[in-house]
Amino acid sequence: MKEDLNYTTSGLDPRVKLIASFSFLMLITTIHDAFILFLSFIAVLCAWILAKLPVKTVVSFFKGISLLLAFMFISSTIFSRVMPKEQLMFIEIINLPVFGVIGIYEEVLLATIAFSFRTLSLVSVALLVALTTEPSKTVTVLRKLRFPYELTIMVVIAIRFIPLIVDQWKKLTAVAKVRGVETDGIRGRIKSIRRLFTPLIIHSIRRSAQLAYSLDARGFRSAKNPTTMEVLHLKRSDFLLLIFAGAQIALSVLIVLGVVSFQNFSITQWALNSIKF
Amino acid sequence: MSEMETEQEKGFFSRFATFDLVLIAIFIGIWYGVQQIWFIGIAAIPAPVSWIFSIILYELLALTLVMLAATVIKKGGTVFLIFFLHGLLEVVIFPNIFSVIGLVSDIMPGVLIEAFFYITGGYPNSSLKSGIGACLRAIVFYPFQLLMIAITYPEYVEIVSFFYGLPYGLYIVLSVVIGVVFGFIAGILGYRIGLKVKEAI
Repeated sequence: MKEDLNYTTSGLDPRVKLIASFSFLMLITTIHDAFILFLSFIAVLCAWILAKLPVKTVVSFFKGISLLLAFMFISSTIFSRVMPKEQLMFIEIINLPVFGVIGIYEEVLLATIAFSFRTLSLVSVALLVALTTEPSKTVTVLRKLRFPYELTIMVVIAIRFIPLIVDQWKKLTAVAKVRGVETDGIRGRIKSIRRLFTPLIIHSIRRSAQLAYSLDARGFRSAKNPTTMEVLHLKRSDFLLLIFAGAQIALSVLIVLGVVSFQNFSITQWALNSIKF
Repeated sequence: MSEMETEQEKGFFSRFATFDLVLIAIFIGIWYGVQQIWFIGIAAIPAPVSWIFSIILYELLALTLVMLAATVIKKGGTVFLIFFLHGLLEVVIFPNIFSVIGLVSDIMPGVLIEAFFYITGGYPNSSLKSGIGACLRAIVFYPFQLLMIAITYPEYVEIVSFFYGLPYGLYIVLSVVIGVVFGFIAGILGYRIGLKVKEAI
């Protein structure tokens, strides 16, 4: 289990990290320019470097997310069926008999670039918080926010069990393959899901029973207000991050109110115009 | 000790045994884990198809698990707790404004399904009741969630018409219709698997 969840502690208070990530996400949802969103992604990358996460974790995450975004980008750009408001540029790719002309509109391209970088930043910052915060600290934060003890423990169990369930699913699939059950292809996968779902659930229930016994043996729910092992204190670095988060929130509010605008600063538009042919 | 027990008996969680709580947590783990796996697969499919697929798969997985848990545990508040915990888990794992909207959106179907079961005399004792209970989720979840997203993130309305080729209102209506149909199927499936599981344990 420890190998699956190799948490790296950043030294920052988890409450401050949550506030900072929320403020950052607030800011990137108010910005629409692709280049600014690209810069924000670079800022998240810097945070990833500062967090000193294992290279393997970083590479596997970015490999997965890049593939996902590449597919999203291609499918959204090419298969967008609605004509944009202003047709600035159009590159024809293919003319199919049923689908008609399939190509890329500049407006769609800009929207998908912005959308991709926003998604990338959104996922990266959320994952950064998750990878640098131990579940025990998450419990402490939820306890500080006056969530019931039972609920916080349930959140931790759910988080801890996600990799174990995925592992169990892989084992069941391997067993099904050995027994000659077809698990390849879309049809095979759908059939296998139906066949493997019940054993997965039964296995999970048995595991729940074991875990419930262990929890009861350790005195779970015996105290009305159990204390936590870790006590959270804000440090100087936490206060600095809080100031940064406050600045991000202020900027987002100014953008929403229209006081600050990046519309005249659209480097993406300029770059596309310069390569227009 | 007796004083402490009396205090705990008053709480919402007192009706659940430790096993029930762990089981719900593990079911949420399955829901969330599988949701993440197929999210990667679905992204590869072109936009309008991926949207329909995601609703179908989401309803089938989520509501099957919810009704399965309701059938096995059979204690009032189970459905609400599952929806609430799922929303909370999204906020903890993936903290952003959309996960907060998701949490609020998840609470409402939980309350509605609980109310339905309460009015009709308790947790499902037939697959039909389970199916009806399950399909109620789509009626409140999609309109609320999509309207909240449109308010907090107006660009999303444009994204929908860009990538799905649909007016936003029609997108909400279609989401509800697909959700109701597949939610109903999932409710029946959940109840039937729940009975099998109950026999097995």
